[in-house]
Amino acid sequence: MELRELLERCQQGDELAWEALVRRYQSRILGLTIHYVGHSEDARDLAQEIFVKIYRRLSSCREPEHFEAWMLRIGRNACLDHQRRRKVRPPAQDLPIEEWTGLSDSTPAGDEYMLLQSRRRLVHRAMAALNETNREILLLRDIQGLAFSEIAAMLAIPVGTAKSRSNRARLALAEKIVEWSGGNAPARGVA
Amino acid sequence: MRSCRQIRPLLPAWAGETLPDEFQAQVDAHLRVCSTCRALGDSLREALTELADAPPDDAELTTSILAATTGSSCQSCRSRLCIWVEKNLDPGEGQLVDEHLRHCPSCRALAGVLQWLPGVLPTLRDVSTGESFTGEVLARTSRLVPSAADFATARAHSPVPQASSDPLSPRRQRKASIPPASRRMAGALERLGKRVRSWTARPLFPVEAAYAATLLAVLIFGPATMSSIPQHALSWLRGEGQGLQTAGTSLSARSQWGTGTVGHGPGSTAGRVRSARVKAYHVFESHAHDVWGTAKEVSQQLRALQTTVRTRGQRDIAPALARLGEGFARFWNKGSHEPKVHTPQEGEGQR
Repeated sequence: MELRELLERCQQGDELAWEALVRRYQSRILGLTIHYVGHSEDARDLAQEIFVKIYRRLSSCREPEHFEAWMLRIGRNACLDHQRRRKVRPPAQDLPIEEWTGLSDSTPAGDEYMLLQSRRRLVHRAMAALNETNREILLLRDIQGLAFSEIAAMLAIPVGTAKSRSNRARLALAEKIVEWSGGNAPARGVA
Repeated sequence: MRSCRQIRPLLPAWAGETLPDEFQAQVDAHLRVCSTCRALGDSLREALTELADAPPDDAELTTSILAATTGSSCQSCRSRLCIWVEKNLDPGEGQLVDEHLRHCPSCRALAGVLQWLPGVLPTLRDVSTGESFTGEVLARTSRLVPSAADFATARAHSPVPQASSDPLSPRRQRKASIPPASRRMAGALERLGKRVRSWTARPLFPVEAAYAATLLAVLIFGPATMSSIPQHALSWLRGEGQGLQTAGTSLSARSQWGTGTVGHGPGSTAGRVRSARVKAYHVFESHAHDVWGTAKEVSQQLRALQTTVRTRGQRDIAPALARLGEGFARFWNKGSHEPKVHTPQEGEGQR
């Protein structure tokens, strides 16, 4: 079902449509909370809270084409509130990478799978070592796939600033990976 | 077989293995029998091999030249690397980055990571929630707004009786028949009444009320009008019809004092004012004497009553009470008698 129709049904109180919406976006919201909070149980509770907030504010979502950005904004605000309340340094890296990176929908097999797993592990560790600004822009742009205009609106910065931050964050991540892999990052060479 | 003079020009091409096969075979055959040409050919091949293994340029020299001029170009390259990976760099800049990457291993490693990062980062987006997550979310959201069916079920199982099976008492019916606005107004008035009652029940309320009334009168009638009150009281005490006129004269005369327009002497305005003051004093004195004498008499009656009660008993109380009543009556009647007016002596007002 199209997202627009799903949203309309949810706004009319269709419980089945709401369940479908939850199923469609729950893994994404949990991924968001894990990146911010880190701890597994906290992330699950926070993801549930985010869905409760989304449910309460569904009537205020007037543009279905921007639903994902709207949903991620609610999620991000909830994560930041949670961090302020708990006063923890995000993210806590106590969750094994195997617990949450091998669970995507399309998993390649064989050598490709092993290579992807090793790269995920490296990226996960390197992201944890970045500062909060770089980590957030990577999360919103490269992981969640938001447009620069949506990121700029969410972070209240100009679009150009969002682009330059994204480039700097990627470069910082690559430097961390090269530094930790000793120049032998699992790559196939420069094309 | 060819001679050494014919073979030696072919030796560089032989060392580089670029000769056609038939010339290559002729050179090999000559070198097998001629040790001089073989030594020359081996040295040429060794030199060519060393030349091929040598770096194409001197990296150290490049670094030192850049350090002496613009500094390292790595930072400049890295600032373009992300755009280079996305292939959005214009061709000229792309060639420069390519050139730098050929000679800079650290930037080449970075570029390699940047090339595979876009394929890995999106795979970190989704995390499996498990089976129970959806149920937990739906349980929490369904508690927020119960459905119509849930509401009907809750009403049916509620221990509170329905309105139709529990008729209201007559008092509640009357209360229910009053419009809500009227009920609110009645409640507000009731609260206001309670507050006023508690306020007026305080011991200081009469004093405060008198003070407030005086202030109000002063504000309404003005200080000039209020200043004539003593003169009005004087005329009332004298009981004379001309008292007001005298008081008014004295008031006007007093208002002119200090201006130098009023003379002194029995016939002057000042003299009349003094005469009025003396008269008022004598009126007050005579009343004070009467009141004091009556109070003294009442006190004596009370002492007699006390003595009577102590010594003679109950039967003599009635006449004592009668005498006390007579005393009060005389005191009361004296207040309404014509007050004695003491006529001032001749020349008294001239002082």
